Amino acid sequence: MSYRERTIPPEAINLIGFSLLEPSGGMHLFSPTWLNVWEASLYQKAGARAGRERWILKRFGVDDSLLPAQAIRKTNYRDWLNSMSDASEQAMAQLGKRGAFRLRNEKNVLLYIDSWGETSVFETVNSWRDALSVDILPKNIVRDYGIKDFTGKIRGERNALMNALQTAQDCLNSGLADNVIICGMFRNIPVLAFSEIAGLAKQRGGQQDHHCQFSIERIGCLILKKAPGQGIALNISEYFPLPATEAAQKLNARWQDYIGTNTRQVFSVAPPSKALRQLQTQALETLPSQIEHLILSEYYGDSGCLNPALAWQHLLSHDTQPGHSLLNVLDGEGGAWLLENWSQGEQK
Amino acid sequence: MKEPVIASGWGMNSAFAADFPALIAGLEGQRSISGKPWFATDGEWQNLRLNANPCTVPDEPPIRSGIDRIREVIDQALKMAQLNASDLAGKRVRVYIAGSGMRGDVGDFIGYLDRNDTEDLMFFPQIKNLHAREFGQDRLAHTLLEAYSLSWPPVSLYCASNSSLAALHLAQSTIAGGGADLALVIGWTQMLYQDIVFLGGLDMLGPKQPQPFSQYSDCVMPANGAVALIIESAQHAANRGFTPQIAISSSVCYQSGAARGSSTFSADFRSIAQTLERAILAADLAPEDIACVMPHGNGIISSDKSESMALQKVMGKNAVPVVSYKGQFGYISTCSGVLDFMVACDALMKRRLLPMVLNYPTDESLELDLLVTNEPRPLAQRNILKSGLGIDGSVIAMVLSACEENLHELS
Repeated sequence: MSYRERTIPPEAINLIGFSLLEPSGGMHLFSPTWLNVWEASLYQKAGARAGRERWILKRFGVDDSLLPAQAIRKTNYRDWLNSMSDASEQAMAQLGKRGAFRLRNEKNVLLYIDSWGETSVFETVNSWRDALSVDILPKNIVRDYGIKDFTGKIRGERNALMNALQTAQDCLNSGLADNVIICGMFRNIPVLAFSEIAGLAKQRGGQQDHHCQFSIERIGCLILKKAPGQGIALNISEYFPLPATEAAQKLNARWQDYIGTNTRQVFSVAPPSKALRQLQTQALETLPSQIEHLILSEYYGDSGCLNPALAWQHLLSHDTQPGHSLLNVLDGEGGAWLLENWSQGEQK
Repeated sequence: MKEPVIASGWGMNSAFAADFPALIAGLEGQRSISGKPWFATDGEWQNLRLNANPCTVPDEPPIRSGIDRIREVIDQALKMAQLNASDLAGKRVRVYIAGSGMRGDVGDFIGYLDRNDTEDLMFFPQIKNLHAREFGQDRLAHTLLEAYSLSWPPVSLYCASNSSLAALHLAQSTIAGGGADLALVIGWTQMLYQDIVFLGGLDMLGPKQPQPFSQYSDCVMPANGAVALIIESAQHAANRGFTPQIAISSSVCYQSGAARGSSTFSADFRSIAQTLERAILAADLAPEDIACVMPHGNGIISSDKSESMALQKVMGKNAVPVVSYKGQFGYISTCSGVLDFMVACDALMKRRLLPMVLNYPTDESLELDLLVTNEPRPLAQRNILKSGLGIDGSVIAMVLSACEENLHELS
């Protein structure tokens, strides 16, 4: 198949500040308990769907003085709320002092993203001010960066970040904003995370492998701008439903439409499911050999709605060459997003 | 140059009215829905340390699912806009779902979050609602995507009470900036146990019917409902031969939490006044060109007072008619902005303003020209100012204008 160079379309936007943080504590093996039968039953089902025997979690706010089984469930929300401020500081620092100062005097939009919508009940938030910050809007970020032109929360278990990027693209292209800041987190509340995976399409046959499923809570902050020539250029190219049969071939065929001579990588992320893992592997195997490919959510651990951010984390830390890459995001509802990235190759 | 944006179709349902014509008929007939206590026994609200058993508007049977409600209002809006469901397909169409979205009812499982056994699950099967499907916003988006052959999954946006107006603001700016031809804004509110606890904790609930802009009432009456609004570029409407009647002349959003030293969550009167002024200015109008103002006016004294002070500053004392119908059809919180928007569109199309029904006397010290007569008032000017507030600190103001015959006037 002959390819042409993939050029940056006029509607593309630029990622000029980026930070993705993980909890500083260690990994914890999840162990179901007879004290919580409902959670334990969902854990078993999730394991069957994901094709994994064990689940390892890394969460914000784990209190090491508690018993491990309790500590992984009873986490403190303050840790991730503070980490969100750290993530925005780190992302803002990449703009430099002059850039950060200029940003405060421009038209700014904040999009707060989250998988579950309202989690203050699960977080046992003990003040209504914190409940507003957790469920509606992190007020400290609004105040610290003087975001006055629009704020809102976008939610979706897997689609939140992609929806937010699309909204950011609209805001920047329409002139509503000069800068869009996307802040968000993935909270791995065990009962919700397991029931989400338990509800995914079942794949018949096959055994659970002996690998562990890693689920990592992450906090992300992205600063996006329209001005070209800065950071990584992004464009959401397409969303399409996958057919019930020959999905891998269809997926690969769609990827071919967005692969060019300058394409260096194809990345994929998906919910942890045996069926989706197989689908991605089949589709990736048929790519030309010169194109690097990686299932990021398997490699770095699943982070729900923040999985797409793993692509920029990977590009910024590993890739020093300019080029084009394609990110495929499977949403677990039978659809796939395609997002193109053009790296300038200056980062390290 | 910005692309002119028009409102072409809308629909709604709630306990007050099954559809938009029924809503207008209810307001014309000066009907007011009466609420009922949320809790069955006194012990329940007393245990939660609420001030009273909150007055809320229950749904009329048959109770429909959220998706059925949403599809019903979308179909109403499509019909009014003279569009088919297939017209929502295409990459230049945006769909927003405003509001809290899919959520489990915390009352079903709050006591069993940490501990439950097989007998609990057997005797209290509602514990099983502690499941991601109850929070499945992606599933809701995908259902709409399949039903209307959308090209992009709908965006789920939440900005507290300002959700629907915020989604409309995004949709309007995207179309005006040339990024889309058509947008559908859907709002859906379903009050749950946790909402009552939250609103009760903020002292926003009361045992009786509320009355906006009154010193005798300091509460809202929560109600369920859904709204849908279709907006499009004037060019898109012209291409399909649709004659527009309402244009969105301007839309301005301001986040008051950005102010240095800001420690409050709700906007103060200065932020509201600035936003109203900017909206009028962005529409190339003067305060005298505004026929009527429809503020957020939810019935909370402090927020009503902030809005009154802002209106006095921008429009002058008793200078322009002001209405809020939330005492009549209830407070459909996240949908309330777009619901008022629709009523404003109807007022402009019929060139008359329907009066509010009074449950209690209004506060005369606010110096607002509240329309509490028995007769509708004719509208002399062709612009209405609509504003909304959110507990997130957001203020949104829009100017709606009646279109003249000539579409070029819009630009």
